[in-house]
Amino acid sequence: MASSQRPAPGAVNSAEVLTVLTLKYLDGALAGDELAVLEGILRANASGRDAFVQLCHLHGCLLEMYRARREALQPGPPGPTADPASEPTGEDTVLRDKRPDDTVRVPGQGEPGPEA
Amino acid sequence: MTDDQDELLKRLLGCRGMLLGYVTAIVRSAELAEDVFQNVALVVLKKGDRSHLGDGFPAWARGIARREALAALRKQAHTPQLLNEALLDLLEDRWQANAGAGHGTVSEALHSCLQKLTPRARSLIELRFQENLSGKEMAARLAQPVNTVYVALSRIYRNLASCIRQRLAAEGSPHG
Repeated sequence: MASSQRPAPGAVNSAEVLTVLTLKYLDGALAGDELAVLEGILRANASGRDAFVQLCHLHGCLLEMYRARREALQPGPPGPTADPASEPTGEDTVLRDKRPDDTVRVPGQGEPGPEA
Repeated sequence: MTDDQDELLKRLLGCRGMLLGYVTAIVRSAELAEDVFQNVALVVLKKGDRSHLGDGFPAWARGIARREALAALRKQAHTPQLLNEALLDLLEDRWQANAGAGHGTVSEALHSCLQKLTPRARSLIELRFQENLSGKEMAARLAQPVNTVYVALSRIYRNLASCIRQRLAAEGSPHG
């Protein structure tokens, strides 16, 4: 994750506003004119764009880190990483579900999962 | 699989967190983002060659991801509000800067930073990412206002981002 312009003292509230808007955006939960507010911040502010991208990147990494646990909670037969306590959560599978025979695994690409 | 395809796949997996974040910023759905990522993998393996294995790989993969994500959105009955395309273009150089830190490096830092969260914060992250609840669904589960949940999540995200920056800087990453 790239370095960023950190919020100046006193700018915490605006950083929080941007973060909340970004998280709502990622949930598809922006209401009213919130999308316009978010777009305005991103257009006007390079540090805001930096923060937005870092938040999205972090969101993607969290999605990836919890993927196996999330999939294990879904209905249907458990996959090979169904035990979240003992298996890495970053399943090294790119092509999954649709065509099991095409599943590609790359040695050494698994990520350690959270031990929460 | 050829040697080139093997290398392309390794590069793609190295960008996975970044690409999932990028695609999610367009499609706003974890499940759809996963489907799009698989389509991106297929295109990368089909169209990629040795010439794509250089520093330009993340940008090339993002270009494929953007096309696949927008195509996936067009097939949806309901499309959520999307940042306009000019703004997506404006964000591109920030994505390029973020692509420098390898997925493994960021993931290792994130894994460590998650351990430092309070139990309460970690439980919120688990509700969001393990149980795949939206902010609204979390609010219902916790009997709290939706905005309270988003403010709490925003503080957790910023703490995690700050922690990751510090760890990458301590490890000497040029992107720390």
